Amino acid sequence: MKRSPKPSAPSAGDLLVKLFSPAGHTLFSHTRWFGKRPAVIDDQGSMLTYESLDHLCLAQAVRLIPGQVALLLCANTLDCLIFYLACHRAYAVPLLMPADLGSEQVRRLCEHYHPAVIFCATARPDLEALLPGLGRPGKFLLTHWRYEQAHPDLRLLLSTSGSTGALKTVRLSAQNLESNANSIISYLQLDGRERALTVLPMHYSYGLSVIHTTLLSGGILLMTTHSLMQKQFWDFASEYGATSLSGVPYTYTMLERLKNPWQKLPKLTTLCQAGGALSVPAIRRVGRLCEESGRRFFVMYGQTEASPRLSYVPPSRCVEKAGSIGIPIPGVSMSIEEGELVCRGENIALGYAENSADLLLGDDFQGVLYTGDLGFADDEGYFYLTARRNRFVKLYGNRVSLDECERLLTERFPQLVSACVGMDDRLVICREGKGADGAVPEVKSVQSAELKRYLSRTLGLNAKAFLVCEFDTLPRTSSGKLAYAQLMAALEDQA
Amino acid sequence: MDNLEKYTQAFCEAFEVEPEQAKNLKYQDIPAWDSVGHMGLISCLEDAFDIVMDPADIIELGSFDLGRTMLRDKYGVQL
Repeated sequence: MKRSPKPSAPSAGDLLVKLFSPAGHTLFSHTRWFGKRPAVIDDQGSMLTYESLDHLCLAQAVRLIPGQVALLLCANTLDCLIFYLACHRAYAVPLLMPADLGSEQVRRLCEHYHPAVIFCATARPDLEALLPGLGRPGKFLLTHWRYEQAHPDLRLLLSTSGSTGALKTVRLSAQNLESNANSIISYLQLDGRERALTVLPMHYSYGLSVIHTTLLSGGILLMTTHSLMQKQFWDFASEYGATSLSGVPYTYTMLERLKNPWQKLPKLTTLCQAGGALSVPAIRRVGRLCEESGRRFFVMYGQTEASPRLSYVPPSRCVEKAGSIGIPIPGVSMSIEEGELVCRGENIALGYAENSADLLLGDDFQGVLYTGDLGFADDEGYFYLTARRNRFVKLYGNRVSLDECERLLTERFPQLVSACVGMDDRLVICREGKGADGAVPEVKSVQSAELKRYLSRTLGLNAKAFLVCEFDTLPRTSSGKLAYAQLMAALEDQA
Repeated sequence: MDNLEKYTQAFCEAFEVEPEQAKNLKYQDIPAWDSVGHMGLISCLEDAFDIVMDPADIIELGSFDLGRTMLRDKYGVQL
Protein backbone atom coordinates (compact mmCIF):
# COMPACT_ATOMS: atom_id res chain seq x y z
CA MET A 1 0.00 0.00 0.00
CA LYS A 2 1.24 3.43 -0.90
CA ARG A 3 1.50 5.92 1.91
CA SER A 4 0.78 9.48 0.96
CA PRO A 5 3.05 12.08 2.54
CA LYS A 6 1.46 14.23 5.18
CA PRO A 7 1.02 17.78 3.92
CA SER A 8 2.87 20.27 6.05
CA ALA A 9 4.67 23.56 5.76
CA PRO A 10 8.10 23.20 4.14
CA SER A 11 10.96 23.08 6.62
CA ALA A 12 14.16 25.06 6.12
CA GLY A 13 15.80 21.86 4.89
CA ASP A 14 13.08 21.29 2.29
CA LEU A 15 13.51 24.80 1.08
CA LEU A 16 17.24 24.37 0.65
CA VAL A 17 16.62 21.24 -1.37
CA LYS A 18 14.12 23.18 -3.45
CA LEU A 19 16.60 25.97 -3.99
CA PHE A 20 19.42 23.82 -5.18
CA SER A 21 17.95 20.70 -6.69
CA PRO A 22 17.10 20.86 -10.36
CA ALA A 23 13.74 19.26 -9.53
CA GLY A 24 12.66 22.12 -7.28
CA HIS A 25 10.12 24.26 -9.10
CA THR A 26 9.59 27.94 -8.51
CA LEU A 27 7.94 30.44 -10.80
CA PHE A 28 10.85 30.95 -13.18
CA SER A 29 13.23 28.13 -12.25
CA HIS A 30 12.25 25.91 -15.16
CA THR A 31 13.37 28.56 -17.64
CA ARG A 32 16.89 27.26 -16.98
CA TRP A 33 16.02 24.40 -19.37
CA PHE A 34 16.18 26.95 -22.18
CA GLY A 35 19.91 26.50 -21.49
CA LYS A 36 22.32 28.31 -23.74
CA ARG A 37 19.68 30.31 -25.55
CA PRO A 38 19.95 34.05 -24.94
CA ALA A 39 17.52 35.33 -22.32
CA VAL A 40 18.38 39.01 -21.99
CA ILE A 41 20.35 41.59 -23.93
CA ASP A 42 20.79 45.05 -22.43
CA ASP A 43 21.70 48.35 -24.02
CA GLN A 44 25.29 48.03 -22.82
CA GLY A 45 25.52 45.03 -25.16
CA SER A 46 25.62 42.47 -22.31
CA MET A 47 23.97 39.17 -23.12
CA LEU A 48 22.92 36.50 -20.63
CA THR A 49 21.81 32.98 -21.54
CA TYR A 50 19.00 31.32 -19.60
CA GLU A 51 21.62 29.15 -17.95
CA SER A 52 23.78 32.03 -16.78
CA LEU A 53 20.70 34.02 -15.73
CA ASP A 54 19.81 31.05 -13.54
CA HIS A 55 23.29 30.91 -11.97
CA LEU A 56 23.33 34.62 -11.21
CA CYS A 57 19.86 34.37 -9.79
CA LEU A 58 20.86 31.50 -7.46
CA ALA A 59 23.85 33.49 -6.23
CA GLN A 60 21.47 36.22 -5.08
CA ALA A 61 18.79 33.85 -3.81
CA VAL A 62 21.05 32.48 -1.08
CA ARG A 63 21.01 35.93 0.54
CA LEU A 64 17.24 35.81 0.97
CA ILE A 65 14.95 33.96 3.33
CA PRO A 66 11.49 32.62 2.46
CA GLY A 67 8.71 34.96 3.54
CA GLN A 68 10.96 38.02 3.71
CA VAL A 69 9.81 41.16 1.98
CA ALA A 70 12.38 42.60 -0.44
CA LEU A 71 11.77 46.17 -1.56
CA LEU A 72 13.05 46.69 -5.11
CA LEU A 73 13.58 50.24 -6.22
CA CYS A 74 13.87 49.09 -9.77
CA ALA A 75 14.74 50.21 -13.26
CA ASN A 76 14.97 48.15 -16.43
CA THR A 77 18.47 46.84 -15.79
CA LEU A 78 20.00 43.36 -15.67
CA ASP A 79 20.81 43.78 -11.97
CA CYS A 80 17.21 44.39 -11.07
CA LEU A 81 15.94 41.58 -13.23
CA ILE A 82 18.32 39.11 -11.60
CA PHE A 83 17.39 40.24 -8.13
CA TYR A 84 13.69 40.07 -8.93
CA LEU A 85 14.02 36.49 -10.20
CA ALA A 86 16.14 35.63 -7.15
CA CYS A 87 13.29 36.70 -4.88
CA HIS A 88 11.01 34.20 -6.60
CA ARG A 89 13.72 31.57 -6.41
CA ALA A 90 14.08 32.07 -2.65
CA TYR A 91 10.35 32.33 -1.91
CA ALA A 92 10.93 35.88 -0.73
CA VAL A 93 8.26 38.47 -1.52
CA PRO A 94 9.39 41.28 -3.83
CA LEU A 95 7.68 44.66 -3.51
CA LEU A 96 8.35 46.64 -6.68
CA MET A 97 8.66 50.43 -6.78
CA PRO A 98 10.39 52.87 -9.15
CA ALA A 99 14.12 53.53 -8.67
CA ASP A 100 13.57 57.25 -8.10
CA LEU A 101 10.81 56.94 -5.51
CA GLY A 102 11.13 59.83 -3.05
CA SER A 103 12.93 59.24 0.28
CA GLU A 104 9.81 60.03 2.25
CA GLN A 105 7.74 57.49 0.31
CA VAL A 106 10.45 54.86 0.82
CA ARG A 107 10.42 55.51 4.56
CA ARG A 108 6.64 55.16 4.76
CA LEU A 109 6.69 51.94 2.75
CA CYS A 110 9.42 50.50 4.98
CA GLU A 111 7.57 51.33 8.14
CA HIS A 112 4.49 49.58 6.85
CA TYR A 113 5.97 46.54 5.10
CA HIS A 114 9.18 45.89 7.10
CA PRO A 115 11.35 44.79 4.18
CA ALA A 116 14.39 42.82 5.31
CA VAL A 117 16.21 43.88 2.18
CA ILE A 118 16.15 46.90 -0.10
CA PHE A 119 17.62 46.51 -3.57
CA CYS A 120 18.31 49.76 -5.42
CA ALA A 121 18.84 50.07 -9.17
CA THR A 122 21.02 53.08 -8.51
CA ALA A 123 22.82 53.92 -5.27
CA ARG A 124 20.55 55.78 -2.85
CA PRO A 125 22.73 57.47 -0.20
CA ASP A 126 19.64 59.39 0.92
CA LEU A 127 18.17 56.21 2.40
CA GLU A 128 20.92 55.78 4.96
CA ALA A 129 19.95 58.93 6.83
CA LEU A 130 16.35 57.88 6.66
CA LEU A 131 16.49 54.33 7.93
CA PRO A 132 18.82 53.81 10.85
CA GLY A 133 20.81 50.60 10.92
CA LEU A 134 21.00 50.00 7.19
CA GLY A 135 23.80 47.65 6.18
CA ARG A 136 26.82 48.78 4.20
CA PRO A 137 25.93 51.30 1.52
CA GLY A 138 25.41 50.01 -1.98
CA LYS A 139 22.70 48.50 -4.07
CA PHE A 140 21.86 45.77 -1.59
CA LEU A 141 20.76 47.18 1.76
CA LEU A 142 19.89 45.18 4.86
CA THR A 143 17.40 46.80 7.17
CA HIS A 144 16.88 46.03 10.84
CA TRP A 145 13.72 44.08 10.07
CA ARG A 146 14.84 40.50 9.78
CA TYR A 147 12.13 38.01 9.19
CA GLU A 148 8.44 38.36 8.65
CA GLN A 149 6.04 35.58 8.03
CA ALA A 150 4.08 35.85 4.81
CA HIS A 151 1.31 33.62 3.55
CA PRO A 152 2.93 30.70 1.66
CA ASP A 153 1.04 31.57 -1.54
CA LEU A 154 2.16 35.21 -1.58
CA ARG A 155 4.77 35.82 -4.29
CA LEU A 156 4.62 39.49 -5.25
CA LEU A 157 3.43 42.89 -4.08
CA LEU A 158 2.64 45.54 -6.67
CA SER A 159 1.40 49.05 -6.14
CA THR A 160 -2.16 49.66 -7.25
CA SER A 161 -1.25 52.95 -8.82
CA GLY A 162 1.75 52.33 -11.00
CA SER A 163 4.29 54.79 -9.78
CA THR A 164 2.90 56.65 -6.83
CA GLY A 165 4.38 54.73 -3.95
CA ALA A 166 0.91 54.49 -2.44
CA LEU A 167 0.88 52.24 0.60
CA LYS A 168 -1.83 50.00 -0.75
CA THR A 169 -0.48 47.05 -2.69
CA VAL A 170 -1.94 44.07 -4.51
CA ARG A 171 -1.03 40.61 -3.21
CA LEU A 172 -0.28 38.19 -6.03
CA SER A 173 0.37 34.44 -5.93
CA ALA A 174 2.46 32.17 -8.16
CA GLN A 175 -0.76 30.77 -9.56
CA ASN A 176 -1.99 34.29 -10.40
CA LEU A 177 1.21 35.17 -12.23
CA GLU A 178 1.68 31.84 -13.95
CA SER A 179 -1.89 31.49 -15.19
CA ASN A 180 -1.93 35.03 -16.53
CA ALA A 181 1.45 34.69 -18.22
CA ASN A 182 0.41 31.41 -19.86
CA SER A 183 -2.82 32.95 -21.06
CA ILE A 184 -0.98 35.93 -22.56
CA ILE A 185 1.56 33.60 -24.19
CA SER A 186 -1.32 31.71 -25.78
CA TYR A 187 -3.32 34.63 -27.22
CA LEU A 188 -0.24 36.56 -28.35
CA GLN A 189 1.10 33.26 -29.73
CA LEU A 190 4.52 33.90 -28.24
CA ASP A 191 7.26 31.42 -28.94
CA GLY A 192 11.00 31.32 -28.45
CA ARG A 193 11.47 33.69 -31.38
CA GLU A 194 10.10 36.69 -29.54
CA ARG A 195 12.47 39.62 -28.89
CA ALA A 196 10.52 41.97 -26.68
CA LEU A 197 11.57 45.55 -26.00
CA THR A 198 11.09 46.79 -22.45
CA VAL A 199 9.39 50.12 -23.08
CA LEU A 200 7.51 50.22 -19.77
CA PRO A 201 9.02 50.18 -16.30
CA MET A 202 9.37 46.92 -14.44
CA HIS A 203 7.48 48.06 -11.32
CA TYR A 204 4.40 48.62 -13.45
CA SER A 205 2.25 45.47 -13.71
CA TYR A 206 2.01 45.75 -17.50
CA GLY A 207 5.78 46.23 -17.91
CA LEU A 208 6.41 43.30 -15.59
CA SER A 209 4.06 41.05 -17.53
CA VAL A 210 6.14 41.64 -20.67
CA ILE A 211 9.14 40.35 -18.73
CA HIS A 212 7.23 37.34 -17.38
CA THR A 213 5.77 36.26 -20.70
CA THR A 214 9.02 36.70 -22.63
CA LEU A 215 11.07 34.63 -20.19
CA LEU A 216 8.44 31.94 -19.68
CA SER A 217 8.15 31.47 -23.45
CA GLY A 218 11.91 31.29 -23.97
CA GLY A 219 12.18 34.53 -25.92
CA ILE A 220 14.76 37.29 -25.60
CA LEU A 221 14.23 40.38 -23.46
CA LEU A 222 15.73 43.51 -24.94
CA MET A 223 16.25 45.65 -21.85
CA THR A 224 16.87 49.33 -22.24
CA THR A 225 16.73 52.33 -19.97
CA HIS A 226 16.47 54.67 -22.97
CA SER A 227 13.09 56.06 -23.89
CA LEU A 228 11.58 55.87 -27.34
CA MET A 229 12.20 59.59 -27.74
CA GLN A 230 15.92 58.78 -27.93
CA LYS A 231 17.89 57.64 -30.97
CA GLN A 232 19.71 55.05 -28.81
CA PHE A 233 16.40 53.24 -28.26
CA TRP A 234 15.78 52.79 -31.98
CA ASP A 235 19.39 51.86 -32.72
CA PHE A 236 19.16 49.20 -30.00
CA ALA A 237 15.81 47.91 -31.33
CA SER A 238 17.19 47.66 -34.83
CA GLU A 239 20.56 46.14 -33.93
CA TYR A 240 19.03 43.30 -31.92
CA GLY A 241 16.03 42.70 -34.17
CA ALA A 242 13.20 43.58 -31.78
CA THR A 243 9.97 41.79 -32.68
CA SER A 244 7.50 43.43 -30.33
CA LEU A 245 6.76 46.64 -28.52
CA SER A 246 4.25 47.23 -25.72
CA GLY A 247 3.02 50.66 -24.74
CA VAL A 248 0.39 52.73 -22.98
CA PRO A 249 -1.73 55.32 -24.82
CA TYR A 250 0.92 58.00 -24.38
CA THR A 251 3.51 55.68 -25.97
CA TYR A 252 1.35 55.71 -29.10
CA THR A 253 1.00 59.49 -29.00
CA MET A 254 4.80 59.67 -29.03
CA LEU A 255 5.12 57.01 -31.73
CA GLU A 256 2.69 58.89 -33.96
CA ARG A 257 4.60 62.13 -33.34
CA LEU A 258 7.72 60.32 -34.57
CA LYS A 259 5.76 59.10 -37.63
CA ASN A 260 5.74 55.52 -36.31
CA PRO A 261 9.42 54.62 -36.57
CA TRP A 262 8.58 50.95 -35.97
CA GLN A 263 7.64 50.84 -39.64
CA LYS A 264 11.35 50.93 -40.45
CA LEU A 265 11.97 47.78 -38.39
CA PRO A 266 10.92 44.87 -40.62
CA LYS A 267 11.24 42.34 -37.78
CA LEU A 268 9.01 44.31 -35.44
CA THR A 269 5.67 42.70 -36.19
CA THR A 270 3.70 42.90 -32.92
CA LEU A 271 2.46 46.07 -31.24
CA CYS A 272 0.49 45.98 -28.00
CA GLN A 273 -1.43 48.70 -26.20
CA ALA A 274 -2.96 48.65 -22.72
CA GLY A 275 -2.88 50.82 -19.62
CA GLY A 276 -5.84 53.06 -20.45
CA ALA A 277 -7.95 53.95 -23.43
CA LEU A 278 -6.25 55.00 -26.65
CA SER A 279 -8.51 57.27 -28.68
CA VAL A 280 -10.65 55.55 -31.31
CA PRO A 281 -9.11 57.49 -34.25
CA ALA A 282 -5.60 56.62 -33.03
CA ILE A 283 -6.53 52.92 -32.73
CA ARG A 284 -7.83 53.01 -36.30
CA ARG A 285 -4.73 54.78 -37.62
CA VAL A 286 -2.27 52.40 -35.96
CA GLY A 287 -4.51 49.42 -36.73
CA ARG A 288 -4.65 50.25 -40.45
CA LEU A 289 -0.88 50.79 -40.67
CA CYS A 290 -0.37 47.40 -39.06
CA GLU A 291 -2.92 45.70 -41.31
CA GLU A 292 -1.29 47.12 -44.43
CA SER A 293 2.15 45.94 -43.41
CA GLY A 294 1.21 42.50 -42.11
CA ARG A 295 1.75 43.42 -38.46
CA ARG A 296 -0.44 42.64 -35.48
CA PHE A 297 -1.83 45.38 -33.26
CA PHE A 298 -3.30 44.20 -29.95
CA VAL A 299 -5.51 46.54 -27.97
CA MET A 300 -5.79 45.10 -24.47
CA TYR A 301 -7.24 45.79 -21.04
CA GLY A 302 -6.13 44.78 -17.59
CA GLN A 303 -5.66 45.75 -13.97
CA THR A 304 -2.87 45.11 -11.52
CA GLU A 305 -5.43 43.10 -9.50
CA ALA A 306 -5.64 40.68 -12.44
CA SER A 307 -1.88 39.99 -12.76
CA PRO A 308 -2.68 42.07 -14.98
CA ARG A 309 -4.36 41.04 -18.28
CA LEU A 310 -8.12 40.59 -18.58
CA SER A 311 -9.15 41.10 -22.20
CA TYR A 312 -7.87 41.80 -25.71
CA VAL A 313 -9.12 42.66 -29.18
CA PRO A 314 -7.90 40.16 -31.79
CA PRO A 315 -5.84 42.14 -34.34
CA SER A 316 -8.13 41.17 -37.22
CA ARG A 317 -11.03 43.01 -35.53
CA CYS A 318 -8.96 45.93 -34.25
CA VAL A 319 -10.15 48.63 -36.66
CA GLU A 320 -13.77 47.54 -36.67
CA LYS A 321 -13.99 47.16 -32.87
CA ALA A 322 -11.97 50.28 -32.03
CA GLY A 323 -13.06 51.59 -28.64
CA SER A 324 -13.76 48.13 -27.24
CA ILE A 325 -11.61 46.46 -24.59
CA GLY A 326 -12.26 43.21 -26.45
CA ILE A 327 -13.03 39.69 -25.34
CA PRO A 328 -11.78 37.87 -22.22
CA ILE A 329 -8.37 36.24 -22.49
CA PRO A 330 -8.25 32.41 -22.16
CA GLY A 331 -9.11 31.38 -18.60
CA VAL A 332 -10.97 34.59 -17.74
CA SER A 333 -14.72 35.16 -17.80
CA MET A 334 -16.29 38.62 -17.82
CA SER A 335 -19.82 39.79 -17.11
CA ILE A 336 -21.66 43.02 -16.39
CA GLU A 337 -23.29 43.00 -12.98
CA GLU A 338 -25.38 46.02 -12.03
CA GLY A 339 -23.55 47.97 -14.69
CA GLU A 340 -20.09 47.05 -13.42
CA LEU A 341 -17.56 44.88 -15.21
CA VAL A 342 -16.82 41.79 -13.09
CA CYS A 343 -14.04 39.35 -14.00
CA ARG A 344 -13.32 35.85 -12.82
CA GLY A 345 -10.23 33.70 -13.24
CA GLU A 346 -7.15 32.15 -11.67
CA ASN A 347 -5.30 35.39 -12.35
CA ILE A 348 -7.38 37.43 -9.90
CA ALA A 349 -5.16 38.56 -7.02
CA LEU A 350 -5.39 37.24 -3.47
CA GLY A 351 -6.33 40.70 -2.22
CA TYR A 352 -4.81 43.94 -0.99
CA ALA A 353 -2.23 44.73 1.69
CA GLU A 354 -1.43 47.91 3.54
CA ASN A 355 1.15 46.61 6.00
CA SER A 356 3.22 43.60 6.96
CA ALA A 357 0.41 42.06 9.04
CA ASP A 358 -1.74 41.84 5.91
CA LEU A 359 0.87 39.63 4.25
CA LEU A 360 -0.48 36.69 6.25
CA LEU A 361 -3.94 37.06 4.73
CA GLY A 362 -5.19 34.36 2.37
CA ASP A 363 -7.32 34.57 -0.74
CA ASP A 364 -9.74 37.44 -0.06
CA PHE A 365 -10.93 37.92 -3.64
CA GLN A 366 -11.64 34.21 -4.30
CA GLY A 367 -11.04 34.66 -8.00
CA VAL A 368 -13.56 37.49 -8.48
CA LEU A 369 -12.62 41.05 -9.35
CA TYR A 370 -15.07 43.93 -9.24
CA THR A 371 -13.22 46.23 -11.62
CA GLY A 372 -14.93 49.49 -10.74
CA ASP A 373 -15.32 50.08 -14.47
CA LEU A 374 -18.83 50.56 -15.78
CA GLY A 375 -19.64 49.19 -19.21
CA PHE A 376 -21.59 46.90 -21.50
CA ALA A 377 -21.08 44.07 -23.99
CA ASP A 378 -22.18 44.06 -27.64
CA ASP A 379 -23.95 41.12 -29.29
CA GLU A 380 -20.64 39.54 -30.31
CA GLY A 381 -19.40 39.53 -26.72
CA TYR A 382 -17.02 42.50 -27.08
CA PHE A 383 -16.89 44.63 -23.95
CA TYR A 384 -16.94 48.43 -23.84
CA LEU A 385 -16.21 50.69 -20.87
CA THR A 386 -18.18 53.86 -20.26
CA ALA A 387 -17.02 55.30 -16.94
CA ARG A 388 -15.26 54.54 -13.70
CA ARG A 389 -17.01 54.01 -10.44
CA ASN A 390 -14.03 55.11 -8.36
CA ARG A 391 -12.02 58.29 -8.47
CA PHE A 392 -8.94 57.55 -10.52
CA VAL A 393 -7.17 59.26 -13.37
CA LYS A 394 -4.74 57.66 -15.82
CA LEU A 395 -1.57 59.71 -16.23
CA TYR A 396 0.78 58.33 -18.88
CA GLY A 397 -0.60 54.87 -18.22
CA ASN A 398 -0.30 55.13 -14.44
CA ARG A 399 -3.47 54.76 -12.47
CA VAL A 400 -3.39 57.56 -9.92
CA SER A 401 -5.87 57.68 -7.09
CA LEU A 402 -7.32 61.16 -6.71
CA ASP A 403 -8.09 60.52 -3.04
CA GLU A 404 -4.48 59.52 -2.45
CA CYS A 405 -3.31 62.78 -4.08
CA GLU A 406 -5.62 64.80 -1.87
CA ARG A 407 -4.22 63.01 1.14
CA LEU A 408 -0.64 63.74 0.03
CA LEU A 409 -1.41 67.43 -0.39
CA THR A 410 -3.13 67.73 2.99
CA GLU A 411 -0.25 65.98 4.68
CA ARG A 412 2.36 68.24 3.11
CA PHE A 413 0.36 71.50 3.21
CA PRO A 414 -1.90 71.16 6.27
CA GLN A 415 -3.24 74.72 5.94
CA LEU A 416 -4.41 74.30 2.40
CA VAL A 417 -7.89 73.31 1.25
CA SER A 418 -7.65 71.47 -2.03
CA ALA A 419 -9.36 68.86 -4.16
CA CYS A 420 -8.07 66.73 -7.01
CA VAL A 421 -10.07 65.81 -10.08
CA GLY A 422 -9.21 64.16 -13.37
CA MET A 423 -9.80 65.87 -16.69
CA ASP A 424 -8.91 63.84 -19.78
CA ASP A 425 -5.36 62.73 -19.11
CA ARG A 426 -4.50 65.46 -16.63
CA LEU A 427 -4.87 65.84 -12.91
CA VAL A 428 -6.33 69.15 -11.83
CA ILE A 429 -5.49 70.44 -8.36
CA CYS A 430 -8.28 72.78 -7.28
CA ARG A 431 -7.12 75.01 -4.45
CA GLU A 432 -8.77 77.44 -2.15
CA GLY A 433 -7.57 80.58 -0.52
CA LYS A 434 -5.34 82.48 -2.86
CA GLY A 435 -6.47 86.07 -2.82
CA ALA A 436 -9.64 85.35 -0.91
CA ASP A 437 -10.39 87.77 1.89
CA GLY A 438 -9.52 86.50 5.30
CA ALA A 439 -7.17 83.82 4.02
CA VAL A 440 -4.52 82.98 6.54
CA PRO A 441 -1.02 84.03 5.47
CA GLU A 442 0.27 80.45 5.47
CA VAL A 443 -2.31 79.52 2.88
CA LYS A 444 -1.45 82.43 0.64
CA SER A 445 2.21 81.61 0.81
CA VAL A 446 1.71 78.14 -0.67
CA GLN A 447 2.42 78.80 -4.30
CA SER A 448 0.45 76.92 -6.94
CA ALA A 449 3.67 75.97 -8.70
CA GLU A 450 4.82 74.38 -5.46
CA LEU A 451 1.74 72.12 -5.33
CA LYS A 452 2.35 71.00 -8.87
CA ARG A 453 6.02 70.38 -8.25
CA TYR A 454 5.31 68.44 -5.06
CA LEU A 455 2.84 66.03 -6.66
CA SER A 456 5.01 65.63 -9.73
CA ARG A 457 8.03 64.74 -7.60
CA THR A 458 6.22 62.53 -5.14
CA LEU A 459 4.41 60.58 -7.82
CA GLY A 460 7.39 60.54 -10.17
CA LEU A 461 5.28 61.83 -13.05
CA ASN A 462 6.11 64.70 -15.39
CA ALA A 463 4.82 68.08 -14.20
CA LYS A 464 2.92 68.46 -17.48
CA ALA A 465 0.36 66.02 -16.12
CA PHE A 466 -0.77 68.52 -13.46
CA LEU A 467 -2.80 71.70 -13.60
CA VAL A 468 -3.65 74.04 -10.75
CA CYS A 469 -6.95 75.92 -10.67
CA GLU A 470 -7.63 78.57 -8.09
CA PHE A 471 -11.01 78.99 -6.42
CA ASP A 472 -12.17 81.42 -3.75
CA THR A 473 -14.03 78.56 -2.16
CA LEU A 474 -14.52 75.01 -3.36
CA PRO A 475 -18.13 73.92 -3.93
CA ARG A 476 -19.51 71.71 -1.19
CA THR A 477 -22.61 69.65 -0.54
CA SER A 478 -24.95 70.51 2.33
CA SER A 479 -23.14 67.97 4.49
CA GLY A 480 -19.88 69.83 3.89
CA LYS A 481 -18.36 67.24 1.57
CA LEU A 482 -16.66 68.38 -1.59
CA ALA A 483 -19.12 68.49 -4.49
CA TYR A 484 -17.06 66.92 -7.24
CA ALA A 485 -19.76 67.08 -9.91
CA GLN A 486 -20.14 70.84 -9.37
CA LEU A 487 -16.37 71.24 -9.35
CA MET A 488 -16.08 69.45 -12.69
CA ALA A 489 -18.81 71.65 -14.15
CA ALA A 490 -17.02 74.78 -12.95
CA LEU A 491 -13.76 73.58 -14.50
CA GLU A 492 -15.41 72.83 -17.82
CA ASP A 493 -16.84 76.37 -17.83
CA GLN A 494 -13.37 77.78 -17.28
CA ALA A 495 -11.92 75.63 -20.09
CA MET B 1 14.14 88.72 -27.59
CA ASP B 2 16.90 87.29 -29.79
CA ASN B 3 16.92 83.71 -31.04
CA LEU B 4 19.20 82.37 -28.34
CA GLU B 5 16.90 83.80 -25.68
CA LYS B 6 13.89 82.28 -27.43
CA TYR B 7 15.71 78.96 -27.68
CA THR B 8 16.65 79.01 -23.99
CA GLN B 9 13.12 80.06 -23.08
CA ALA B 10 11.74 76.90 -24.74
CA PHE B 11 13.84 74.77 -22.37
CA CYS B 12 12.84 76.84 -19.35
CA GLU B 13 9.19 76.48 -20.26
CA ALA B 14 9.32 72.76 -21.04
CA PHE B 15 11.27 71.74 -17.95
CA GLU B 16 10.51 74.59 -15.53
CA VAL B 17 14.18 75.46 -14.97
CA GLU B 18 16.20 78.67 -14.84
CA PRO B 19 18.11 79.81 -17.98
CA GLU B 20 21.45 79.11 -16.29
CA GLN B 21 20.52 75.46 -15.65
CA ALA B 22 18.96 75.04 -19.09
CA LYS B 23 22.25 75.75 -20.84
CA ASN B 24 23.95 72.63 -19.49
CA LEU B 25 21.09 70.16 -19.79
CA LYS B 26 21.16 66.71 -21.38
CA TYR B 27 18.32 64.19 -21.81
CA GLN B 28 17.44 62.48 -18.48
CA ASP B 29 19.70 64.84 -16.49
CA ILE B 30 16.65 66.00 -14.57
CA PRO B 31 13.37 64.13 -13.96
CA ALA B 32 11.48 66.70 -16.05
CA TRP B 33 13.46 65.78 -19.19
CA ASP B 34 11.90 62.39 -19.76
CA SER B 35 9.96 61.26 -22.81
CA VAL B 36 6.96 63.38 -21.80
CA GLY B 37 9.10 66.45 -21.20
CA HIS B 38 10.83 65.86 -24.52
CA MET B 39 7.50 65.99 -26.37
CA GLY B 40 6.82 69.32 -24.62
CA LEU B 41 10.24 70.70 -25.55
CA ILE B 42 9.76 69.83 -29.22
CA SER B 43 6.38 71.61 -29.27
CA CYS B 44 7.92 74.68 -27.61
CA LEU B 45 10.76 74.79 -30.14
CA GLU B 46 8.44 74.28 -33.10
CA ASP B 47 6.16 77.07 -31.90
CA ALA B 48 9.01 79.46 -31.08
CA PHE B 49 10.66 79.19 -34.49
CA ASP B 50 7.66 78.20 -36.60
CA ILE B 51 9.31 75.03 -37.85
CA VAL B 52 8.26 71.37 -38.16
CA MET B 53 10.93 69.05 -36.92
CA ASP B 54 11.81 65.81 -38.64
CA PRO B 55 11.32 62.65 -36.49
CA ALA B 56 14.97 61.69 -36.98
CA ASP B 57 15.98 65.05 -35.51
CA ILE B 58 13.47 64.82 -32.66
CA ILE B 59 15.08 61.65 -31.36
CA GLU B 60 18.57 62.99 -31.85
CA LEU B 61 18.08 66.19 -29.90
CA GLY B 62 19.67 64.93 -26.70
CA SER B 63 21.11 68.11 -25.20
CA PHE B 64 20.86 71.89 -25.18
CA ASP B 65 24.01 72.20 -27.29
CA LEU B 66 23.01 69.52 -29.80
CA GLY B 67 19.66 71.21 -30.36
CA ARG B 68 21.30 74.55 -30.92
CA THR B 69 23.59 73.21 -33.65
CA MET B 70 20.72 71.27 -35.17
CA LEU B 71 18.37 74.24 -35.43
CA ARG B 72 21.14 76.37 -36.92
CA ASP B 73 22.40 73.83 -39.47
CA LYS B 74 19.18 72.09 -40.49
CA TYR B 75 16.40 74.59 -39.86
CA GLY B 76 18.12 77.84 -40.74
CA VAL B 77 17.62 79.42 -37.32
CA GLN B 78 20.30 82.05 -36.59
CA LEU B 79 21.66 80.76 -33.30
